[in-house]
Amino acid sequence: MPDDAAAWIVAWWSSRTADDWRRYAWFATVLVVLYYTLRWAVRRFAPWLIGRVLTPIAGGLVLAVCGSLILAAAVVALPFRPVRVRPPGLLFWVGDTSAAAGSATRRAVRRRVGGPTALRRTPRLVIWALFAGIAWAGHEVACDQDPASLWCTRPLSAVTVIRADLWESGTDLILGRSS
Amino acid sequence: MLLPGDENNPVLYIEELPRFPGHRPLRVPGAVHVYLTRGDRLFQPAGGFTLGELWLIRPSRLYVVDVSPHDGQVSHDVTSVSGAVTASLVVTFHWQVVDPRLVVASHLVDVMAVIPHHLGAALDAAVAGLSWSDVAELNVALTPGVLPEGVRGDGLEIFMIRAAVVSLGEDAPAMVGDDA
Repeated sequence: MPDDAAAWIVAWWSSRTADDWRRYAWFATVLVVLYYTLRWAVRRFAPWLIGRVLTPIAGGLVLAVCGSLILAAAVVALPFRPVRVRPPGLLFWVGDTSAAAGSATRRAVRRRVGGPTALRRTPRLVIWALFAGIAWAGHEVACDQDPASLWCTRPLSAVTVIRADLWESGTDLILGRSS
Repeated sequence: MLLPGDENNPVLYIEELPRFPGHRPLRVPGAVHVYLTRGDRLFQPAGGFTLGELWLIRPSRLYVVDVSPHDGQVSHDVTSVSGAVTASLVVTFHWQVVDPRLVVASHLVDVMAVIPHHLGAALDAAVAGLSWSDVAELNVALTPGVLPEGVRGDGLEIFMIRAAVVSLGEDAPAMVGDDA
């Protein structure tokens, strides 16, 4: 058995052409670049997006709602004043609770401005698993949309096709489209 | 601003309010909130302002005024119609703030500075209607029906007034005998 495997490896290795090795090198490069891109997106971009963009926006919306409730409660309470009747306790409760929620929101936004720290320490294995999941999902979507497409039948070869397309578009862009 | 503890001061404390307070001032049992707003106007809303009203109306200062009843005691001298006899009364009563805005507006910080005046005038008027020539007659005449039910003034109400005679002007020479 080991002899068969060794013989198969030697046969496979000796049958590779220079073009095969170039395709493998390109594939590995794409793999590494995509992995680092995904890792940056998970460990850096997502915390920034959550902490600096989404959280302040959500906090602003909550503060706007709280301020509106406080003012609405005040406006509803105003008709009770001329007749010197104590407004319902609900109006006082709405104002107090909204103010407390607003204060808590402001504190939370200041505390969470760095984004979720757990994302910054995402293990490599999780990044690879996420990467594999995205690739598999893409493969499934390609098969649903067009079962005969290269992305469905031979996804690894599709990476090489992308290289060829990129190379052609790049050279066309710099050198001009060939006649 | 926490004021010195003084049972005769109806203003418990004064608080400067920010433009947008984050919470309502705390409620004090037996006390009401009086707010000073723009134009030096005073408001005493029932139950205090809601948080939104604090934002809209923008009071700058809060006075917490004690409106619970308190006991009091003063001495007061009354003179008979003939002017021959003077009696000293010990008057016990209850006082209570009934107009907190007037108390704040008049800067009343010591009720005992005004109560003897109002109470004395009422007692003088009540005693003036009696005919008495000595302490015994005055003691008999000072029934609860004779004394005023209540006296109002400077935002205060004085009620449950009781008076007792403690001395007579005629007894004063007894002090002289000690020197002999």
